[in-house]
This record gives sequence, C-alpha cells and structure tokens, in this order.
Amino acid sequence: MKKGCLFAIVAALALPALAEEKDRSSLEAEFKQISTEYEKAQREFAETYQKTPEPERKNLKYPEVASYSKKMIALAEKDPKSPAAADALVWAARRSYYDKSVGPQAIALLKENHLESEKLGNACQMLAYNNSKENRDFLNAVIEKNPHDNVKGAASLALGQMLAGDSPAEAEKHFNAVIEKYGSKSQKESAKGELFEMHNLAIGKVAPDIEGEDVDGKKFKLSDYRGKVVVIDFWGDW
Amino acid sequence: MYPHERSLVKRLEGKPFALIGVNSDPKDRVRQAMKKENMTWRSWWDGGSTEGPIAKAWNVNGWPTIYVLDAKGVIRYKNVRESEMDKAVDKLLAALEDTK
Repeated sequence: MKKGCLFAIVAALALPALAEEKDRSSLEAEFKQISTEYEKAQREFAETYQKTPEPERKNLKYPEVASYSKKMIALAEKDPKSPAAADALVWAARRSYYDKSVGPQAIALLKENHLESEKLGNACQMLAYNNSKENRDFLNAVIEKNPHDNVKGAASLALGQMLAGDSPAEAEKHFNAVIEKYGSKSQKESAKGELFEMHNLAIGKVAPDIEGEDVDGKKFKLSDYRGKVVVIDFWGDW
Repeated sequence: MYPHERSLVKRLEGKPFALIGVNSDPKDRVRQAMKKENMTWRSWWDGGSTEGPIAKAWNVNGWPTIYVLDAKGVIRYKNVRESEMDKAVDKLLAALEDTK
C-alpha cells in the first residue's frame, strides 16, 4: 500500500515533465520537417529553372518564403519558450528580408522569449539589410541583454552595417565595440573592413590604388587609368 | 548584366572611359566567361575566390559590387546598375568635357 502510494506520487510528478519533453521533441521534429520541406521546394525550383528555356524562366515562381515562415511562427507559438521555438523563430527572422509580412512577428517573439539565447547570432546578421525600427530595437536589446559575446558581436556588426549610410558616427561606435569589446576574430575582421570602407571607400574619397594581374598574368594598376572615367565591377560568373 | 556592359563599352568607344572588372572565379571559368560573353574589357583576376586580396581590401561582401570613379580617381557613385550606371558615367564624362 505504501509502495503503491509512493509510485503514484512519483508518476504524478514525472508525467507532466515527460509530457512536456515529448511535446518539445515533437516540436523539434516539426521544425526539421518544415525546414526540410522548404529546402526541397528550393531544390525543385533550381532543377526546374535549369530545365526551362531562358525566355520562360521569368514565369517560374520561386518558393514563397512567407508561407514557411508562417508555419515556423505557428510552431513557435505552441510553446514560445522552447528551444524548438527559438530555432523556428531564428529561421523566420533570417528570412525576414524577403517576407516583410511575417518577419517582424518573428522578431517580436524572439525579443520576448529568447533574448538571451546563443542562437540569435544567425538571426542578427540578416537584419542589417532592413533598416526598420523593429530591427534596430531588437539588435539594441540583444546587445544590452544577451550574455554571449559572439551574439553581441553579430548584433553590433549588423547595426553598424545598417546605419553606415545614414548615421556614420553611430555605425562607427558599433564597429569599434566589436573590435574593442566582444567580437570574435572574424567579426573583428569584418568590423575593421567596414571601418576601412567608411573612411576610404566612401563617395568623395580618392579610391585606393589597385595593383593586380589579369587572368594571363599581365600586371596593371587602377592609377594607370587616371584621366578616364572608370567603372570598377566586382564580378563572378555564378 | 553582361549585355548591358557590352553595350556601354561599345557606345563609349574612343571616349575617356574604361570598365574594369575584378573577377572572383577560378581561371578556367573566367576565361570561358570572357570568351562566351565577348568581354572586351580587362579584369583583374582576384585569386580565384571571393576571398581574394582585392575584394578583401575593398570590403566587398556582395557581388556584383560597382564603383564609378571620375577622371581624378575620386569615388562618385556606388552600386549603380544598368541605366543608372549609364547616367552616372555620362554625367562624369560631360563634366570632364566641360573642364577641357
């Protein structure tokens, strides 16, 4: 009798925890499934694109990110504090540039539930391309509250890149914070590159000289072209 | 992109103008592209990857990246494409004519 009672108590305590764990692992599985579905759609698009003759390519529709982002957000809302929710929201936030309809919602949920997560670095980077108030507030909150240096670094770098055009002084502050305070080695290097661009490659500056070789090994310099209007095109055939 | 650049270079033949590329492909690939697309303009070959020394020095993280310089070597426009590039170049050429 005593034994049975103890068992019942243990079971009563353990079951909700088990149930929660089960729910969480099914959320992880759901997250993987949605991202796999999206990758598959992208792959199929690429294959169709290759097979389609050029004039008809413009009629092809790229897989719509927003519908997948909506699924990710719905998943996250089932258990907003869970690790799977963080993954799902980071996924959507990273793609918020392409789907302005649902991106801000993902950012808001991340800010509310996962501001201290070390997964946020990946989300920050892509926000640099969209200078919106939500994105700025989010990145500032990450810098203030996230305990992980590489995440703070990613947020500062993104804010700097976002502001470099309109508020260069503010941008410099963020780049310097990356270099002096919390950037990883590669983040520091990026920040230095951004500062160099701001100081030496801005409109109105004399372009630094380029010395190099063409594909046949013939040397030539940018300064050989003084007296001419020059377009420099960084290109690749991909 | 290539057709526009080809026509720009052709249209400005004989003017004080140059289009110069900085290429991030492996050598065989760049040779093939230059031939196939009939590129008559020069490119620096940047070591075969996007991590090349010129792209690094110029902090280039996205391709294509475009700079337009005036005859004194001053950066006047960035990332102008197609008709915008035409306008930018034409303006600088006109300004250069005026100073002569």
